[in-house]
Amino acid sequence: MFLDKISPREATAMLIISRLMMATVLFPTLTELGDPQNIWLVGLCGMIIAVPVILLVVALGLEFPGQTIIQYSQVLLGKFFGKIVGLILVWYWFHIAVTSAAALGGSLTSAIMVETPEIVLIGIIAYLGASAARNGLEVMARVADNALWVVLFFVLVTIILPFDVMKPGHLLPVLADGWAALFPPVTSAVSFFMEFIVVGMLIPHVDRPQGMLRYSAYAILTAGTVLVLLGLAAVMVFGPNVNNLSMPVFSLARMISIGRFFERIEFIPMGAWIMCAGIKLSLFIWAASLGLTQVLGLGQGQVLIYPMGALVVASSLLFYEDFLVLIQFLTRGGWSVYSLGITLTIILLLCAAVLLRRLLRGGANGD
Amino acid sequence: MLEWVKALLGNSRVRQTDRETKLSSSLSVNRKRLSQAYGDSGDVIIRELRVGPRKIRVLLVLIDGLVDNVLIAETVMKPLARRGKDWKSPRQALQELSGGLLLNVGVRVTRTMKDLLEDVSRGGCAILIDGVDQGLSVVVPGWVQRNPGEPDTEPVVRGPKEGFVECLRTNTSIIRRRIRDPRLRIEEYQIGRISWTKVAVLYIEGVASKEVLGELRSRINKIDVDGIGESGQIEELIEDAPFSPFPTILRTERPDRVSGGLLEGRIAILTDGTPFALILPATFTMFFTTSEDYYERFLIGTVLRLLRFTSFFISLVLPGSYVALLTFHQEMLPTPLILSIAAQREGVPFPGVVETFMMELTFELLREAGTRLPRLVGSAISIIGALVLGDAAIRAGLVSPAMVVVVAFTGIASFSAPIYSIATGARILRFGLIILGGTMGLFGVVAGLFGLLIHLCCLRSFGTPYLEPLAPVIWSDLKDALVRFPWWAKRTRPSLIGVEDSIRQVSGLQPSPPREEG
Amino acid sequence: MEPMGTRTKIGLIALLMVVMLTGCWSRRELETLDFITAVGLDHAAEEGKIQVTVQMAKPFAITGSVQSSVQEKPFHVMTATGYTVFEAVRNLNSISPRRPFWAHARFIVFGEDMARDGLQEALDFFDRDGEPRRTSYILMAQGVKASDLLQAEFSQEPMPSEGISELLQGTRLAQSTVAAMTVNEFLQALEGEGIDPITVRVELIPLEEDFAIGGDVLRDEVKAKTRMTGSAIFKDDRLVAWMNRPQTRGYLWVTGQVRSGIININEPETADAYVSLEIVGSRGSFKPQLTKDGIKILVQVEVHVNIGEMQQYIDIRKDPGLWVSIERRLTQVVKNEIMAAVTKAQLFGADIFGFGAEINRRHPKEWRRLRENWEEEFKRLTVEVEVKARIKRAGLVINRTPIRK
Repeated sequence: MFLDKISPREATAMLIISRLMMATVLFPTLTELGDPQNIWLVGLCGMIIAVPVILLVVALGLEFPGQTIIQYSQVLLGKFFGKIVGLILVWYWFHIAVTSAAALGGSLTSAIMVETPEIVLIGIIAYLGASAARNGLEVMARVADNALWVVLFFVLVTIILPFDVMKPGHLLPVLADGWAALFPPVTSAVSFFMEFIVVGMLIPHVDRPQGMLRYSAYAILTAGTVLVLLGLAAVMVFGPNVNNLSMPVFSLARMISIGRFFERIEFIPMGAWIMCAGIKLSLFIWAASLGLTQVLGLGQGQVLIYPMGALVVASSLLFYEDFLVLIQFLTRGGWSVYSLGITLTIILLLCAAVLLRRLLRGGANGD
Repeated sequence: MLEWVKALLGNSRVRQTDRETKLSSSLSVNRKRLSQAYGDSGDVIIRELRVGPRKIRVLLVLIDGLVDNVLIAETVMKPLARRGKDWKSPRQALQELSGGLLLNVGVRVTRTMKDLLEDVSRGGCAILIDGVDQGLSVVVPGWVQRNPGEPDTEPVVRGPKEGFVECLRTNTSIIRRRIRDPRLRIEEYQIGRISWTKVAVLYIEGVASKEVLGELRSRINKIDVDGIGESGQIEELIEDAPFSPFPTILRTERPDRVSGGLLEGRIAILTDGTPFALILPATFTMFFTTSEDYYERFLIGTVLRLLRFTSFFISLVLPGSYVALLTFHQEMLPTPLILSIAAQREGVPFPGVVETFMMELTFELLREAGTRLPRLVGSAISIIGALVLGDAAIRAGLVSPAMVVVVAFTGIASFSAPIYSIATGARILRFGLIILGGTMGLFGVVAGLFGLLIHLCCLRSFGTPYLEPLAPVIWSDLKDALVRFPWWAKRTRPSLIGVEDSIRQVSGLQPSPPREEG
Repeated sequence: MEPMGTRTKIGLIALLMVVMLTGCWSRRELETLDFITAVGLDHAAEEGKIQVTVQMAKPFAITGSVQSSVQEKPFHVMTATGYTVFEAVRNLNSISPRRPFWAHARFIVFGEDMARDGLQEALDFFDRDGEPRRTSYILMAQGVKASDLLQAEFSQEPMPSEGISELLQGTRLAQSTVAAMTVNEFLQALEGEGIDPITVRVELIPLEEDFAIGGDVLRDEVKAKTRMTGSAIFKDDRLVAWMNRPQTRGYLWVTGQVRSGIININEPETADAYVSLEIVGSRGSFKPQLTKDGIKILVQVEVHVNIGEMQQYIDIRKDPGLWVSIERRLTQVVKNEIMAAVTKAQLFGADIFGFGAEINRRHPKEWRRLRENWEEEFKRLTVEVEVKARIKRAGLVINRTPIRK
């Protein structure tokens, strides 16, 4: 009845939470924007651009029912190139997990647990994430389904409650430097949405795959809307200072003060970080382990999960020794080029292969 | 003869075969076997009669205190005395006796020693006739038993005041009185090699899920222990997650709860010798409902239920969060509050986490002592607890008053869980969260809760996800989870449980004033 | 199914063990902390150094505590110096047995000397460090060092920091004669284009041995008090001028922050008698207008007042013209206050109103032209004021009780 099949809504919940993780930690710092007042436009454009790209991934998945992106890329591109594409994807997911873990560790240690070693924080969250993944996609999905409400509630509280220090005037002027100035930040926003390529791994496990077309769009739109709202709130509260903040959402929560008693509620963004990071890590560790087994043609992906989790923890400390290195990589265009480069190339390659195959087959059938 | 020797040596395997033995046609052999089986137990009465002119030897076996002596005289002795004189042969005697002579409905023909011993052990009177290899047993139980009174562990303000008792038959009858449709099935099992405990599985045919039932049967059949003392033992032997602090089977003393569960498509297990019934599959939210939720008007039921969930959460996280805030996140409390707590904590010699741990431990000790103490000395505990530990500890500067408030609040919150077993789970987890909060601050508490969420999502009770309908979210079942919808809006059974027959009632039951004509 | 639960459980136990064996990095017990409630910054006597003065709570002396039976002040003041604020803050550790804890600081006071030289070097710590908050207020001490100001007390309020915060709120709500900025707003005004910071001025009142005034019982304990009178205006991060109360209210009218307050009008006009009007509501805004002569700022203010007091008998029921005349003169008073503020700001070239920022918002193209030379442009800026004043209510009596001879 429930054997490793999840509903489209649960898949959506996982995707939304994964996207919100980076958003609640580092957005809008990540968007390298000159004029902070345009930040919400960046979120908006990012999500509008991301929708068709991700829908392509879903459509590809529907073309090959029951197969993950790693499996059908081997069908489409042949064993050798398919495996290379698979390995790149596995690396990409692994790298996302590593980056997220580093971002979480970095922000927790800068904001709240100053003297605690990062490895403990990352280790605990990665362990929790991996243990959920080890218990199967269904458990992860259910955790995400529940956590989504909590996370959304936390984020909305953070967005709405600093209302008394918001100045709508900070939102003007819109687009003073024209659309061109939006290009780099929008690329960055889109590049973060490209994480959703992991939906290629989820589709075969969804009980109504057709529904994923609709639901993955919902996921992007929901996450995008939250981004837009966060951007609006951050700009209205911090005005021109937004660009200097390393963790704007956290700072936003610190501004909340209602009646001089309901204040100092930093635990709200912290709770959101922990839950988002746990689920994101579990999703990407799961995807990377399953992908790896499918590339290498091994049997069960489950055994790889704990080793993969340990690897993620170790790598997050190795790759990003300092928080500043991470911020540098994420903001100075490095991430945008890297992420968009990998995902767009793969998606276009696969689409081209599908079209070619259809043409050939159409020719062969003669109709 | 060798068998008897072995039996005397007390080899249980042999005893097993001994019980399987067929009854002999010789009364002396049977009698010998019986006295062999019972030894010289003082309460066993084995009486030999010679009936009628033919002097047919008849043996009566019964256990004193288990049978109703008046009824025995009325239903067994009188007919024997009146009609015995006409019997020509033992065979005829048996036929007449089993054919309606005994003035009791529960007459059974037994062919094996085992059946005979079982019937006797249940308050029966066994009748053996010389020359026939069959016996008869008349069940006339007559032991002292408690009257169904209000359950101590689950009292209600509004609702039936009837609770289960220790006698299985009474309990099944209570359920029968609540659900009279013949589709109510009561399957009985005998578990326990030595205790011979009767266990009844109750379900409604066509409503309860067949898969769950099959799974339950196979799990029950696997049980092979020497005795069943209480339903808790069965619960532990058949539950899904034995290591989890959360119970995956609901136990209750209330018949209305059982019948409510049966109507939803759940299965109940009644055990002889205990008033606690088991209901399965059980989900997390069920542990926070009381039967009163359904009898009070739905708005009140909903509010109370939400209150209970909140208080469970509070009892889980409050001490942990307090420690975390006190020792890690002093910035997260409002200034006047933190200064006031700081003022109280001046001179307290223990670190926050130790203080909390100590007070929580004290509270748990008080609670445990209060439960176990004889009622008469119980008040001493409250005096010590309230006066000595509460007041004097503060005066001596050992604990801060804020700490006492936190512990007391936690205690009150933990009492509001209607099912004791879930509150016990929370008690254990609370200490875990105190340690997490004391070592890693709120990060620890949140991570702990997140881990708990993962754990809860992993749990299943007989195939039903434990957090259903919260995870996976099943919209139609949210009508009776965190909130309670009015009765007229609860058209369907829980969708994962009442799979066989999902529609519960007709729609459109919502009452409304009659429309004006014309 | 079963091993899932088991494994998670074992994992949780392992997690607990890890935590217990290694734990407690960021832990700090409550009684090892010294709660800073207010901070003062000055130039240190030594050249180039910053002096940090902190006012800290003494929890055990707070009333309600078990041990507090002696009459002890619930706060103490400490000072340390360093080349940066952060260094000075750390130097506090060498004289304080407890770790100074910043998260509960209500406000930051700057001494006038320091503020005149610029706050740039002092502010980053309060933005960057995790403990101080962007919601604390920035105060300017006139004529005295911040360290002196932190010694001032209130006889009704045991914690001076609490007292100053209440004073600030009270003055803002009842009089609207101070303009206060939190760290958050201050930093925005510093970074934002076409806007300069303004914040509250605090004065120290030394108490003389004068028993005629005040209801203080323990006079010798309280050495000095503080009061809030107007505000300090900044050009970039430098304090350039003080504004008195009417000027400050002028600023508040323009930015729409006037909550309440009293305005006196001579009535009858000739006599030396007043009508006191209580401000019950106001709306204020400004917008830049492009004209052929360049840019012009139009300030629009709407004031609603109640009659609060009349010193002489006037029959306002009989003469509706009187009503209008009071409103007209009220308009004039408000206009004067606004023009006083604008003139003062223009004199020092400090765009505290954010006129430039508003031009940027409404006319970004125009702003590009003005941006380079904004200080000069601002000094030359034409400001036009439109005030609408309404008397809404008159209290429980309409005319005052006349005195018949």
